[in-house]
Amino acid sequence: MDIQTKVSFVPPVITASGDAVEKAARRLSRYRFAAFAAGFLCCFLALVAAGQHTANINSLAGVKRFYQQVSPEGQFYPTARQVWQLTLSQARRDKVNVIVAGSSVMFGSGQGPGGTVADRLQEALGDGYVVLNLAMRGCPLPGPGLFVAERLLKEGYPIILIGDLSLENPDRDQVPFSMGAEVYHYFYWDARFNGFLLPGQPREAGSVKTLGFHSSDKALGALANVPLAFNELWTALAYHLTGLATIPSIVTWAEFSKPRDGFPDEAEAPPDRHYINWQAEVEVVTEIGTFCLRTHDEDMWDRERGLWAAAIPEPMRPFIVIVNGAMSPTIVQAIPPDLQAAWREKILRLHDELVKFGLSPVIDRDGFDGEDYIDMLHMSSSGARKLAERLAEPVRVKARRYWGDEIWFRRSG
Amino acid sequence: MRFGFVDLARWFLLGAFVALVVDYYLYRVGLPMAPFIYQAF
Repeated sequence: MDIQTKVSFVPPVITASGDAVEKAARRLSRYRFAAFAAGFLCCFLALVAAGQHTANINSLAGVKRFYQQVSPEGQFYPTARQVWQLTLSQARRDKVNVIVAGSSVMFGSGQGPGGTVADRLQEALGDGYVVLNLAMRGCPLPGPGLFVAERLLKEGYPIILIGDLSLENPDRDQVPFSMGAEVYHYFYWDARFNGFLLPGQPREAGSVKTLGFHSSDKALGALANVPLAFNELWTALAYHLTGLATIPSIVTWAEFSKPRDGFPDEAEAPPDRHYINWQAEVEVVTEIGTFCLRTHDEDMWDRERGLWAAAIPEPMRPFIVIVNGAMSPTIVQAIPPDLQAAWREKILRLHDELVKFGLSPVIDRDGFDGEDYIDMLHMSSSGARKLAERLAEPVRVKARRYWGDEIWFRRSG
Repeated sequence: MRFGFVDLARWFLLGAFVALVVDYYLYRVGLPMAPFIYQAF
């Protein structure tokens, strides 16, 4: 504080007596505190109002899929309400809304804009369907896609959900992937407190926590965010105004202040980038094959079924198509034959288990070749086209079965 | 008694700035989860 300001505040009675000075100082501090509190409240309420406004508009306009710089991988956490508004901007009540959920396989790693599984599926299905890509890299089925689909279902939208699901390897001490990679747990709490989720599901029970389901460390923040909307505000600022509103990540380091909408969607992987980690991937698939060869115990399947039951709400199951067994045939052929056979057997068993559980699995193995993949898991644009064609039929069957009459009714007014 | 407008305005702006920091802190760091709170969820 400069001298002039101090002088302007010195009351004239300062030379009169000690009591008067003390009283004046107390009054001064009261006024200053009042000014501080007023400033705090005005600004905070303005921020809350701005956040709430952001939560009720489509602040992620332009996002076709959640590529690195607009997803948690790039320290950018789209909130449940933002993804909901993005979905609402495209979802239709008179069409079947196909939500593509799950991991990088469904997101379309390796495929450029316009050439992803979701894009090809939209082409294959035609005008009666709206295909939305809500998959994120490393994201499990119970992630943004599933939670948004639950809210769509609750609000009466015709939906089909497509996702991928992987088996756990109990040999590795990892958080069960089918229950949610930890970085996406924030979305569960956000969706839950904003009323997205179907009620009364096992995932809300305390006993499920022992399975490592949705760690609670983000819960209180998500609860506070419902009235205060700070996440919506700063995420929208990071998207539209400057990346400084969030923190830099390894994928934005060189241009950390650039708004996230300034980063382009990722391009198709060029042929010279296909299978660049060949040896390491062969080792990983060998490890998977060894795991498939060794463990045929029913305990593992009990555990898997328990995880699915906790993660995927029963009313959603009829609407879900699962991609099962995505793996480059070229890589699989590079491992010993007994391990290949064990892996195939496991995939078929998984198929049967998923059917028994009430989901509709699609095995994307037969008919694919090495050119359809860019690495052990992710597909090239030709693979994406093949997978989309394969998915289109079960989606149509489900759409006719569950939504046919309803859509006819809505279209005919 | 006279109070300088500039001084009060500074205190007002300081309050506004603290509000901005608090809001950003909530976004970036979140709320702490004490064990008893953790159990509630």
